[in-house]
Amino acid sequence: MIRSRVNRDRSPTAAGASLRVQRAGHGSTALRRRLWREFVRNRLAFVGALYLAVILAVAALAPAVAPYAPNKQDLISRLDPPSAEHWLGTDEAGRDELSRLVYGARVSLSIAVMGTVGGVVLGTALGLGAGFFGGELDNLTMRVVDVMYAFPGILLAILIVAVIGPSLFNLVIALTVFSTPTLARIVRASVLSLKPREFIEAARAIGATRPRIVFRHLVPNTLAPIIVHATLSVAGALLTAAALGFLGVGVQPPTAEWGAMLSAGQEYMRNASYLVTFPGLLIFVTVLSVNLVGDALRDALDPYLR
Amino acid sequence: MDRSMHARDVIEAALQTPGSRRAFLRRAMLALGVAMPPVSGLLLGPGLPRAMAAAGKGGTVTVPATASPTSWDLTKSDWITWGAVNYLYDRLLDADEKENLRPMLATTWSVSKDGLTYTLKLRRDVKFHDGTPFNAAAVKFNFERHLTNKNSRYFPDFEAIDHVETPDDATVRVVLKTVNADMPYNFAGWGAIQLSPTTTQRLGSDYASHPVGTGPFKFQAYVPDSHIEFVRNDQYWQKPPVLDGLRVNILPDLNVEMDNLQAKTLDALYYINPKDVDGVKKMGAAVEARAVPGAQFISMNVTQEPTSELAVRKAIARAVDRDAMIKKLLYGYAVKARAGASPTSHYYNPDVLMVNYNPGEAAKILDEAGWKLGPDGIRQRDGKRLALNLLSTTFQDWSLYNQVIQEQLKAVGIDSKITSLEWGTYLDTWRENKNGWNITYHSQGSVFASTAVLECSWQPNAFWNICQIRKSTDPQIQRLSQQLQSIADQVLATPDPAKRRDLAKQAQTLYQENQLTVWLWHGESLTGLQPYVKDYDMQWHGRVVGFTRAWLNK
Repeated sequence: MIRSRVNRDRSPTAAGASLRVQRAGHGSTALRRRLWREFVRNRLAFVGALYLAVILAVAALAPAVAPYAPNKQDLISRLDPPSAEHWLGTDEAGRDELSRLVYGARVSLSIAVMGTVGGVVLGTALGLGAGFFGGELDNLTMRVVDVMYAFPGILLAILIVAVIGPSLFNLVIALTVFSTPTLARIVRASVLSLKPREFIEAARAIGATRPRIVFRHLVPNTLAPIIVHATLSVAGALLTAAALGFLGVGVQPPTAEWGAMLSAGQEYMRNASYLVTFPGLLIFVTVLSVNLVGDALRDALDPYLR
Repeated sequence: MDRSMHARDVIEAALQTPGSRRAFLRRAMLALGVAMPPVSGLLLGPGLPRAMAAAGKGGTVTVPATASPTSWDLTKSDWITWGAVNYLYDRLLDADEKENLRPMLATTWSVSKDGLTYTLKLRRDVKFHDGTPFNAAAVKFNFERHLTNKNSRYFPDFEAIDHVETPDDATVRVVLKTVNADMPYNFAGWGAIQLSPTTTQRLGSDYASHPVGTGPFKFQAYVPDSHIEFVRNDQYWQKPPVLDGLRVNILPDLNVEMDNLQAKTLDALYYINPKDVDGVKKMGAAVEARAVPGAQFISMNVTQEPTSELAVRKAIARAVDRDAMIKKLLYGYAVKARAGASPTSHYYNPDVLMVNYNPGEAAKILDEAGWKLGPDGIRQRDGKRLALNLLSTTFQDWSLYNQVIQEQLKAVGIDSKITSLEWGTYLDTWRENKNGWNITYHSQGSVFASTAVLECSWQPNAFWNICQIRKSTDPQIQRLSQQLQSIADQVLATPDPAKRRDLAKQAQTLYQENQLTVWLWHGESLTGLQPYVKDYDMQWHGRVVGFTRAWLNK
């Protein structure tokens, strides 16, 4: 859903955002000031960013934060409700739910971020190549992207994992492929709008090489829409990773991952509802926070929305 | 008769007496109150319980199925399919709870002295739902529909049949190529359901649109992935069912089934997870627990290192705490397995070695085999870590069992990596020895305990063989495989129960001595039924509920 939203609604304005960056030249201080203003003005985005900072810190410091080892089983304490000993209770194998959520944050966020970064790198490369060189390369790239669009994202991800097998690395590959097409289109659109502009013409006129034009002039000016889309993509990737984990094709047990925990907890909904409540809540709040931050970034970077 | 005449007089008097509408209704109610017990008694027969007469005839029972039937003619089959379609059909023979064979569509059966010819005498008063008669030609047709279809699930059951003779309409002679002492049980199994030859031939591959048998209920409607409707067969050769009909709601999610049971939109619930038993009882439903012929075990792959090594297999068997798993994961609804045959089985033998949880002994066996504890707590030999590929699946609780097994193995220094696959892929991977798997939790059931000396596919040539023994290239394992297959062949050719028991002991001993499998437990089938469902019949060791005589006390 997020992917299509970005693709259909954000692309034109994202392209506009690149104009703004270009107008500002390399005024990164101004950009930072504008971002800060936006986050101060937009309280929800500020809370979202704060939440993300906390959850990232918790994920990074998991061994210090988690009270127990995430896979340590204690069948005697199986399905114990929240207590002083186990703040969020224990799961079906007697593992501490809080510790698994903490370690699960590491896995879930890493998968989402790495999948998105992979998509950004691949999508940017494809979009730059297609937009800058045009012609047959553009045609071919965009048709490949069209084919990728023909599959619903989650189905494409399931297909990839089914073919290459379930593992953390393969999940990242699936999410990379999942988020590549939209990025490729956004970057291509930005490049096409930038190519005829005077500063690019000027660079050509003074004899700048193609790599210099691409990496010194085009890439910096497409960064704004990329950042906006990538942020929103993290939310999509997080949801997709959770969905794949829920379907049992994500990370392998006993690794703690929010989607897989939600899936395992579903069986015990009647006996231990907290096993679905906490992972579900974490996925929901994290995705919401990423979206709030993404929206704030878009508001800050898009000149048409100011 | 006197009472019903009296009742008619009362009704006539009430109708003839002039008066207000309210007075008429009062008199009508009085008349009905007097008339109904004898009338319903006449309709329902004197043998039925008084409470049932009061509750009245009819109603529909709704039961769940977690999936649509895989086939309607049972050429493919599983318990879910059988639970959904069995109401349509009868078999040649039936079996009671203790697996004593008894007549069904065949009234008698006998075997020749050489064990090669079975003679079945058939009932003459049976008609298929399409009105055509059930006779010897129909039985021959039904044997041949399996024998001419190698893909039929029941082809192996009847493979030993050479030909079928029909000397008259009510006699069938089944002539075998080789002796098969289990054949009478095959006559009582799902492969022996009788389909109408007329309808089956007329509809061909479209048979599922209107399946026809001789059973207590007739097909009414089927909406794939939604529901199946059956109606009472008023021409049933036994006493027709009391219920008007039966509905199967296809509900893949067990939580949804539980919700439906609570809302009383389901009258029964099959395969309850032990953790949900208390919840089902709190809903007011009764829970029936039955020991099921079958075994739950750790399947070990003898073709892959390191489980090709006996010491490793023995250590695994001693590292798993089955008592804790039965108590905490199965809530006690299982008995600890000795050697593959459950304590209620004719083939259970207390003299066969039972391997118990003993992590100290597991460690000693591994130490002696040269697997020494490494700095990371995992054993090593010649620089190689003792690590297993633990195959798992998302099916039911199997992933949980595998995770618990993984942790228990780790405690004795055996590392394992879980690969969890979707059910279909898992089964293919497991059976076809793909991906180099070493161990996996597995479960197999058998239809009859009387035919299953180990209650699972232990024979090397079995389609679902549990330890890949036939595929091993190790000469010692190959010899063991031939030995086991020879025992399996002898079991089939031996009708004498005592001799079969001896053969079972030999097979069980070989399995235990060579630790081909880690026997975990024998689970129970748990079924929930609404308290108002009366006189149901727990069939197939509780895996299916029969509703032929059932009625609703609502």
